[in-house]
Amino acid sequence: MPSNETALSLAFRAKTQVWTTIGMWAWILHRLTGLGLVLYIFIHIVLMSSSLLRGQQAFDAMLTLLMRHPVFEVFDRLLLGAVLYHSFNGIRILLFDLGVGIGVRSQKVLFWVFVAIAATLWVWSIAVKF
Amino acid sequence: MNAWTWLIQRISALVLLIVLGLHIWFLHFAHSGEVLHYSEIIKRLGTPIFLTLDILLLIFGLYHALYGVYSVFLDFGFGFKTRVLVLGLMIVAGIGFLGLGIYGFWVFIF
Repeated sequence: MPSNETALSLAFRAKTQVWTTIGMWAWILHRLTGLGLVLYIFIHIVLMSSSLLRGQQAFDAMLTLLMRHPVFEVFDRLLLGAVLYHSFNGIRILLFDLGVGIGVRSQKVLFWVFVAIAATLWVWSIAVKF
Repeated sequence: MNAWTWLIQRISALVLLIVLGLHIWFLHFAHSGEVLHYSEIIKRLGTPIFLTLDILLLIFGLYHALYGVYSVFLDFGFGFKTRVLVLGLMIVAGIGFLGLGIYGFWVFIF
């Protein structure tokens, strides 16, 4: 029978050891990038729709600001990174649904493979685009 | 919410992988690198295939985004009333943003 202190320590470890796993961080990053993309899609719909409806001058002014301002260029790079991570981790999740790669080791391997692909595409896209 | 809403979330993910990929590619990479202009957008939206792609992106993007936000709330284990409230907010936001997006396309469709 473990002492009270040992029991608490074991309970703490059981509840917190999940923070050391790759799957947990993959999940947290998927949620964070997802929430960022939701915010972006709302802003994107409002800005594109309203400026398109206000006509050529308003639309061109909006696009010039969004595509040329240094701050928005940084946001664009972060946005692309978020899209790539969310997409490739999303493919990993879809594979899990199909029963592919759900082993303890294989889900980690899949994570690093997809992160490597996403990171490569991100670096390539920044080099090509910006 | 049931298995169907979850399945549509997965289907929307698959659709977005293709449609969003094409959207980003055509608008930001298969392009000279210059700032996009109104005339190019008008020309693009006048093409049935691009208009279809953009409308699919709007519908599936909004569903995936709003169901995703609802899923995040589910993770926190809120009670039934809060879940219904969040779901209601997501539906209202979905209808609002869908309406705004469709309204933006309206002039190009008719």
